[in-house]
Amino acid sequence: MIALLLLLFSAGTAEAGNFGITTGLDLGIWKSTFTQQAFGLKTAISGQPGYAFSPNFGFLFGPYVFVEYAPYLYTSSTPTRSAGATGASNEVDAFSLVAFNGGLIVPVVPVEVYSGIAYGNYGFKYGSNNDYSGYLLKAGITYRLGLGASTNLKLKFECQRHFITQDDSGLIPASINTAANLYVLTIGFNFSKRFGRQPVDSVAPRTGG
Amino acid sequence: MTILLTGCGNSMNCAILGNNVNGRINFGDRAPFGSQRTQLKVELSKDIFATVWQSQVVDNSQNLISVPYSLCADNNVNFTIRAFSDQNANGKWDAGEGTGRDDGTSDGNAAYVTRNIPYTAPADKNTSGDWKKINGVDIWIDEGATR
Repeated sequence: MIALLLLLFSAGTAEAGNFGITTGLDLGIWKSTFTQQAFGLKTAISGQPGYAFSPNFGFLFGPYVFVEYAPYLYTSSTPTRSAGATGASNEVDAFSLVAFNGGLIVPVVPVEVYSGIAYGNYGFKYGSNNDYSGYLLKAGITYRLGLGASTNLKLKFECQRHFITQDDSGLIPASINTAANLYVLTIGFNFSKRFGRQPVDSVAPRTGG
Repeated sequence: MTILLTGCGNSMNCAILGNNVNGRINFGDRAPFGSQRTQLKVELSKDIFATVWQSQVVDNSQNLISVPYSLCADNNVNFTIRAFSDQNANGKWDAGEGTGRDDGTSDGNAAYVTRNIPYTAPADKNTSGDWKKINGVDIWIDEGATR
């Protein structure tokens, strides 16, 4: 029992030194493809590129694992939307306030890989002016450039698969398959801080001869 | 909020509380071959289309197979709804243009569904009362020869 407690304590001490928080802001560009398919008919729209904003806040567990809350706002390349306005039918925007990632910090190389889940909105600014929503899955890879002990510059590429289930009139019939793929490239600053004592050498220094 | 009950029809109420008829125009496998989807028109009638009470162009420049629409219908009166694909953009249905009814089917014309949205004006005109909306009023473009 004592040996088991010592083992858990030492493990806990090591983990306490590697627990931390992380926060950052990513800025970049995004692009999408939208499809609707049913009854032998198919519509495909390649969305115009726009600007991507994504703050993030998370936790570090051990040296390799992180989870984060990462909402996003992906804007259209045109700044305003108004009823009846004319514009390009492929002007789109997207956002999510319910978005989470979990990932691994790859040892040795400055790379992180992650996947995530969110519930998001995707919409057309002109034409049918529809807003769609549904769950989405995402995955990404980050190249990390260390700028200091706790600051990183991150270049990130992310893919999202948006399983659209609702539009302005409610649930879309299951017979009509509606989906979107989003591609996001961002660069951002990230700050992290780890807490707890680092593990120390338990062997007392020798004295005397 | 103040509800204007007379003289403005239901448009003011709908402007404040939102349109009270919501649905989708769907292009199924019965749509006439080559049906154009980008310019649609949905119509509402109070006399089973002896006359058209109101109509609305539905912009579908994304060429969607299923596109939402919404209308403002008067309360406490029977009405029916239909839609068509305005292939030549002349504002009226021409034989051969895809058309469909709110008839509960997706395989050709059936009897119109007659709808009625009841509403009783509240005593306090600064409240909305029991404003009802009907959803799922879907129209399948599934006919071309007749409306």
